[in-house]
Amino acid sequence: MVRKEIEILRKLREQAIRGDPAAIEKQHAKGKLTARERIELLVDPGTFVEFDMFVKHRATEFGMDKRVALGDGVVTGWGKINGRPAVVIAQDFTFMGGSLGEMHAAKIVKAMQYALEAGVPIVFLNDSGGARIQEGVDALKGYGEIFYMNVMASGVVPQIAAIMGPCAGGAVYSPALMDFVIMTKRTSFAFITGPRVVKAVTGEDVDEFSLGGAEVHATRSGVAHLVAEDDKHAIELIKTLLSYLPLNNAEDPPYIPTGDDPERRDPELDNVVPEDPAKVYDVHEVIERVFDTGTFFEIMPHFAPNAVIGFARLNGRSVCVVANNPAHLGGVLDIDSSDKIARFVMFCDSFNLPIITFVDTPGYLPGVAQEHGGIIRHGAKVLYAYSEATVPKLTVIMRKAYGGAYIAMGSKHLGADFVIAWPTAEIAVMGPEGAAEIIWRKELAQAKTPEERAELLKKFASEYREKFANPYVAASRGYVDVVIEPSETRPLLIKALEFFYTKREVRNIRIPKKHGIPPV
Amino acid sequence: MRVRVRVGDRVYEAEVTDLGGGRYRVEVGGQSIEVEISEEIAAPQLPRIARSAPITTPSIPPQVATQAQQPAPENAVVAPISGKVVRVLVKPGDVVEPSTVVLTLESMKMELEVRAGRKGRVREVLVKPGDSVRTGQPLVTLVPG
Repeated sequence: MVRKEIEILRKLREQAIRGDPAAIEKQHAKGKLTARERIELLVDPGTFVEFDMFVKHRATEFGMDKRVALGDGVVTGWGKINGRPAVVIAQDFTFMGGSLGEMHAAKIVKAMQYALEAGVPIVFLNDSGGARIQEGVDALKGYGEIFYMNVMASGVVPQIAAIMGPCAGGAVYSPALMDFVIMTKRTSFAFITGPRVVKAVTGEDVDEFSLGGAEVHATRSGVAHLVAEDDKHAIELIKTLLSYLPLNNAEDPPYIPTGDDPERRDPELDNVVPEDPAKVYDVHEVIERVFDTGTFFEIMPHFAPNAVIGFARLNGRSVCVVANNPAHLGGVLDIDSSDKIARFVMFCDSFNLPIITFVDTPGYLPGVAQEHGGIIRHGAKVLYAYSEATVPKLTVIMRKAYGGAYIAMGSKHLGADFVIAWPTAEIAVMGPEGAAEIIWRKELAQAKTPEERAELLKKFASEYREKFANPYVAASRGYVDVVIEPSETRPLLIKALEFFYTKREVRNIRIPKKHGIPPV
Repeated sequence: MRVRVRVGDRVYEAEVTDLGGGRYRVEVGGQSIEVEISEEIAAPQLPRIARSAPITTPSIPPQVATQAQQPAPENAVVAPISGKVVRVLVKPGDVVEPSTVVLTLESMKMELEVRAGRKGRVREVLVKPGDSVRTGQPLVTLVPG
């Protein structure tokens, strides 16, 4: 015989969990899971502790007094993901379209506070039609407080947002303030103003997914870091991502033995860089061979693919990888790749993840679009991020490292701890052809025919290449610590990582400050 | 057995003696302590790695022109960068995969590969070796398939 009070509690709980069967059916018909189903996939069985299950909104206008549900359209709690704790916030589209009002927001803010207090990551599963209009300015207050908490948590605990349904207007800024955004194909979209307003204001005819679907944000805008086929895949991506991250900024990233031999040398690496300096190759070839087999987890693979970023394990230690990719636009640095690199470096530094940079770039992309788009401002972010980072920074110069791009890509001068060069490295102030044009201008001007001039230029360029476009000038100054055979890269990076793992910043005196001003 | 142990930022050398039955004596810096291992914690397992989903045919309108130029037609492979056409590697009627290199461009003093980016059949090749092309200029048109 169960006593009455317990009976009542059981009924209330059951009511909160059951939800609205008709709305749940609609959610499933769209190919989406409910908030509770998503949480069940995400957290280890039996570990989820839900709180604020009985929270209700306080609105009375517009008939709101009759539309009430326990939980107010969002499920919050903590649980374990692959054995490690995290706070989970999941919006419930089946109650009033997951709309955000005062109490719905208050639950989210409280959950984030708990995450900060406990020092665990925040996972926010977004699925909401936007502000609950009926609650007026109280809904705006709710958004504002969530943004504020996102900023307070930034750099303290990892923040991962998955957009698994609509995310429009003010709602987009919480994911934007978090560290990683995952979007589901076909079921999610994010924009500030929707198709109807766009049509009215600019006359552009565009549907929700062409305006703000996963593909757009993963390829064009750079808003989405990862794309999921569906809800289940999105949850797997979250788990994978968390497996590389510490719980908070005071913790070391996880160490997971991978069984890959730390002394393994891959002879194929010696031939990845083509002999003809004009030819391209895919830097993934290098990354896959150097890090623990199969552990490279690429972030933003479809945005600015001329730069590659991602997490990997090196002898079991979680690290960040940044690389130019010659297979795309020759590996140039441009506005988008600068943004991509800079933000990732800042993230890695915040969470004690060593940064390993692979350099092969012909330089900055010339053009009116780049200059007018502010490549000066965006390119500066890369300099800022590398200079500011105090985690171990190891750099491998594979081939081209010229001028400003050489400096930006994790050079010794921005505080790299250990710089490794391959014998194919070309480290100089500019490329041989351009340099020859300037150094031998007078000689070239004396050429009688264009053919003779081209012949001379070729000769001077190869003279320059031989003298300067190699790793040994930089090595003679100590800007490069070692020149090695490419196949030695893995064992040496592991030794260097081991050595610098206990690094403390001693080279530069850092004057205490509130915060710097990155050139955003 | 001599081992190194790390506590926070600091590394200590310790002498560990197995006393049997899960008991050990640990000596650090002249101090000695006896410990018992009550439970061995399983080594963390390497989780399965999920990957970001592929995007082969973005269902998005053609690139918005960044300069004063016409937007490229929907089924065109466009120049990703300004440069000079070096080699054209396809002809009308050829079947291409997303990863097929349709031509190479000289730019940034390198020979860059331009890939089809989607599946299809080549309808028309709009440029020839030696032509200078600008970013966003259509190079090859495809028939989907």
